[in-house]
Amino acid sequence: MKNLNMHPYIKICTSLLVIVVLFLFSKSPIAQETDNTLRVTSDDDEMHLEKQLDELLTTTYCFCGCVRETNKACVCETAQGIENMFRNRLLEGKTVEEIRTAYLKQYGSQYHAVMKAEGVNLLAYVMPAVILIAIGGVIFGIRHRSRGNKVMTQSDKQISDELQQHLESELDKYKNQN
Amino acid sequence: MDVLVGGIQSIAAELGQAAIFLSIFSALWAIVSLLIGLRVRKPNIIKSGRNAVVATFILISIATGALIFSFVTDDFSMKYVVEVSSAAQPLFYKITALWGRMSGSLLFWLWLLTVGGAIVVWQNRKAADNLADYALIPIAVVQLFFVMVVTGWIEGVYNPLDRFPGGQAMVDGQGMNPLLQTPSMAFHPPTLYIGWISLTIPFAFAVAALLSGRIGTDWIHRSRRWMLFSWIVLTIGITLGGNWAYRELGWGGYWAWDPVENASFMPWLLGTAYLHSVMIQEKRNMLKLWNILLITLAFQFTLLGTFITRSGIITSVHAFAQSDIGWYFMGFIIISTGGVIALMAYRWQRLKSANRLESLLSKESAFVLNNWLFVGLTLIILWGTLWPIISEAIQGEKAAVPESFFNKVVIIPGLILLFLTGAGPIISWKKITPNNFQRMFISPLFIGVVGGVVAWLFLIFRAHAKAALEISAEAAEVAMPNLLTRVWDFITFSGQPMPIFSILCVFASVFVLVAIFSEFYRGAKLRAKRQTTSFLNGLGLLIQRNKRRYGGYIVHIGIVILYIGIMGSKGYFLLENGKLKLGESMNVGDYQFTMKDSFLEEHDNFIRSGVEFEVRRNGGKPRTMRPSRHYYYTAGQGEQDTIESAIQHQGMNDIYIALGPLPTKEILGGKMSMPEKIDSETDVSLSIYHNPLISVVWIGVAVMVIGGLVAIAEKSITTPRSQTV
Repeated sequence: MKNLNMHPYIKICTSLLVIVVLFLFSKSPIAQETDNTLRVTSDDDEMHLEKQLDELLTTTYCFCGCVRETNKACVCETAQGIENMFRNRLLEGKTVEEIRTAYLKQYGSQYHAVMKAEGVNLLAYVMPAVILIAIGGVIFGIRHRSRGNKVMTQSDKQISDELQQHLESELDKYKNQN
Repeated sequence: MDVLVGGIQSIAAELGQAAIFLSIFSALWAIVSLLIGLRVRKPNIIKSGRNAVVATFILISIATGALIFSFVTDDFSMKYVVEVSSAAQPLFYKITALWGRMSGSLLFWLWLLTVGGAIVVWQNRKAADNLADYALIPIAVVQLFFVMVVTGWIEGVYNPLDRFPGGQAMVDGQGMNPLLQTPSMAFHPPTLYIGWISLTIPFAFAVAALLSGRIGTDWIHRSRRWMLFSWIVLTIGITLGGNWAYRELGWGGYWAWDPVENASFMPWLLGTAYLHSVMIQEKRNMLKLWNILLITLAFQFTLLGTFITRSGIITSVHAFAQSDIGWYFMGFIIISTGGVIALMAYRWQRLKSANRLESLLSKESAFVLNNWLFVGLTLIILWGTLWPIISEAIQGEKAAVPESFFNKVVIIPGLILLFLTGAGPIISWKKITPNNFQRMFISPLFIGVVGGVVAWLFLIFRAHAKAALEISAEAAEVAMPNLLTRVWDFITFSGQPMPIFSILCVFASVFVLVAIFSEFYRGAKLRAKRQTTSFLNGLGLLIQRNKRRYGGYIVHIGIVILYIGIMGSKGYFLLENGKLKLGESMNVGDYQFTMKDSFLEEHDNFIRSGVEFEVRRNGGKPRTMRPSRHYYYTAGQGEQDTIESAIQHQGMNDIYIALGPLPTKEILGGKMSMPEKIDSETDVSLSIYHNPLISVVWIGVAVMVIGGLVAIAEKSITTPRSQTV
C-alpha cells in the first residue's frame, strides 16, 4: 500500500501514459487511413468536382458588396451565380487555377481570398516581424537611455507634483495679497 | 395642428443650427481664456474658460435635441431625416437614426465629447490645482475641430440640421439602412463612440501634464477612471459589433479583420497597453515618456479609425459611411500629434525615468514585454489594414488581405500575451528570485503542461475519430503498419497539420488560470486567517481592499475564457452549403436539418420570409429553427433585404442557419421586389454552421467587463481644494 502513496502529479502522468499506451495497442483508425487511394467508388468524380469547387469558393471573394466574405460563406444571389459559373467551367474541363485566374482577371485581384507569401506579398508577411523587432529596439533604447540618465533624474525627481502644487498655491497667495 | 407642428419643427431646426454656430465661439473662448488665464494665473479668466466648456455642452445638447425632435416628429423638410428615417420606421430606430449616417453620427460624437468636457469641469470643481483646467484646453481643441466638421463648411459632409432649400419637404424619408435596424447595431456605434471619446480625457490629462510640467503620477490618477471606463465601454462596443456581424451578415462569424473592426480594436489594444504601463510609472517612477506616447497613440488611433471608416480608402462592411471627410481627420491627427511631440520635446528633461529595469525577469520587464506586444500587434494590424493601399502603390493593383493573413501574423504575439496574463501577476517586482519562481511558477507551469497534453490527446482522438468516419469499409482492411509507424502517426496526427496553436493555447490558458486562482486563494486564505472569518468572506474582503488589482485579475480570467472561445469557434467550426426543397434534409456534424415548412409574415416596415427547420442531434429530440430574410419597404442607402440567421445554442456551441436569396416578385413597376411564399418546388439555398464554444466568447467578454467594473470601483486619489488652502 505504501507504494501507491504517490505524488498527485505522478499519478496524473501515469494515468495519461496508460491511456496513450492502451490507445497505441488498440485497433487504431490511423491504420485505416494509411491507404486512401484504394477508395475507388462510383462517386469519385463527383467528390473530386465538389472538392475543386470548394477550393474555388473558399479562395475567392464574392463581388456583391458583402465585403470579405468568400463565395463559400456569402449567401447572396451573386455568390450563387458565381458558384454555378464555377461548376459549369469545371464540368467543361477547366482547371481550378484557370477558372480562378479568369475570375480575378475579370473582377480584380482584390477578390482573391488567399494571400500567398510570394512576390510583393512577401513584404506583407515579413513586416510584422520587422515591426516587433523595431518596437523592441525602441523599448530597448528607452531602457538604455533611462540607465544613462540615472543621476540627472534623481535630482529631477525631487520636484514632485505635491511640491510643485504647493509652490503654485504659495505663488497664488502672494499674488492675491498684492 | 400640422401647421403648429411644422412651426415648432422649423423653430427647433433653426435653434439647433444657431446653437452649432454659437458653439464655435464657445469652444474658441474656452481655449483662449484657459490659455491666457493659466498663463497669467487669473482665476476669473480660468473660470470663464471652464464656463465656456459647459456652454459648448449646452449648445450642442440643444442642436442634438433639435435633430432628435425632427426624427420623432418626421420632419421631412430636413435632408438628414429624409436620408435615414421614414414614417413607418419604429420610434426606437427613428432615435437611433441620429447616428445612422455620417452627419448625424458626427454631431452625436461631438455631443458626447461636450458631455465629457462638462463632466471634467464638474468632477474637478473642488480640485486643488489647475491640472484639469489645462486638460480642458485639448478637450476644447478637439471639440472645436468637431464643431467645424459638423457645421457643414467642410467639403464632404453637410450640417445634419440643414433643410431643403425653399421650404420644400418630402412626403416620406428613405428609411435607415436595414442592416442598422437591429438592437445590437442600435447600441454598437454609441458604445464605440463613448469608448473612443472617453479616451480623449486621459489624453487631455497627459497633454495637461506636459503643459503644466507636472509629469508625476497626478495626471494618471485623475484620468484612471476615465481610462478604465473607456476600456470597458470599448470592450462592450467591439463585442456588440461582433455580435451584430454574427447575427446579421449571415457568414457565421463575429470577427473577420475588417478594416473598421481593426480600427475599433487598435485603440483598445493601445489602451490596454497603457493600463498596464502606468502601473510601472506609479510603482517605480519609470516610463513617463512612454505612457504619454501610448495614450497619445491610443487617442490618435480613435481618429485614425474614423479616417479609415470615412475616407473610403479601404473597402469595408461599413461602406455606407464614406466621404472625403477622412482626410480632414488625417490632417487633424498630424497636427495634434505634432503638437504633443513638440510639448514632449519641451519637457524632455522631466520625462526621464527615475529608475531603471534591474532584471529582465521581473514584473517591470513583464509589463514592458506586454507593452511591446500590444503596440506591436497594433502596428501589425495597421500594416495589414493598410496593405491594400501599399500593394496598390507598389504593383498598381489592390491586394485583398484575407482573414487568414491576420490570423497567421497575430497568433504568436497573441499567445505570448496570453502567457503573460498569468506570468505578470505572479512575478515579483525588481527581480525574480529562485524562491519566487519555485513558489509561484512551478505548479501553474506543471498543470499547464498537463493541460496541454490532455488537449493534445483530446485533439488526436477527435481527429482520428473523424478520420475513421470518413474511411470506407474496404480501406479498413488495409495492412496494419508496424508499431513505430503507429506511434509516429499518432503523435503527428497521421500527416494532418498538428493543431500546435490550440495545444499551446490550452497550455497557456491553464497556466494563467492556475496562477490567478492561486493568487486569489493565497490572498483570501491569509485575509480569512487575519480577520478570523470564513474563506469566502476573506475572498470578499480581499477584492474589496484592492479592487484595482483583483478586478484586473478577473479581467485576466475573462481573457483566458475569450481565448478558449476564439480557439474553438475559429479553429473548429463546420460549414455546409446546400439547396433544399420543403421536406428534404441535410446533415452537418451530428445534426440533421429537415426543412419542414415556410412562412411569410407582415411587419410595420418589412415582410419576413423564411423557412422552418426541424433539427435533431443524433436522432434525438427535435428542435425548431426559423431562419428568414427581411424585405424592407424603404431601405435608405442599403440593400432592401437582410439575412436574419437562426441561431440555436447547444450548451456552449451554436448551430446557425442563414438563408440565401428567396423567391420574390417585382412590384411598383419593377422598382421593388417583395418575397413570395416558398412552395414545395422551390430550391432554398442555405448555409449551416456548427460553431463550437462560441458562447464562451460572449462569456469571456462578460467576465472581462465585470473585472473592469470591479477595478473602476476603486476610488482615485484626489486632494480637495479645502485641504491645501
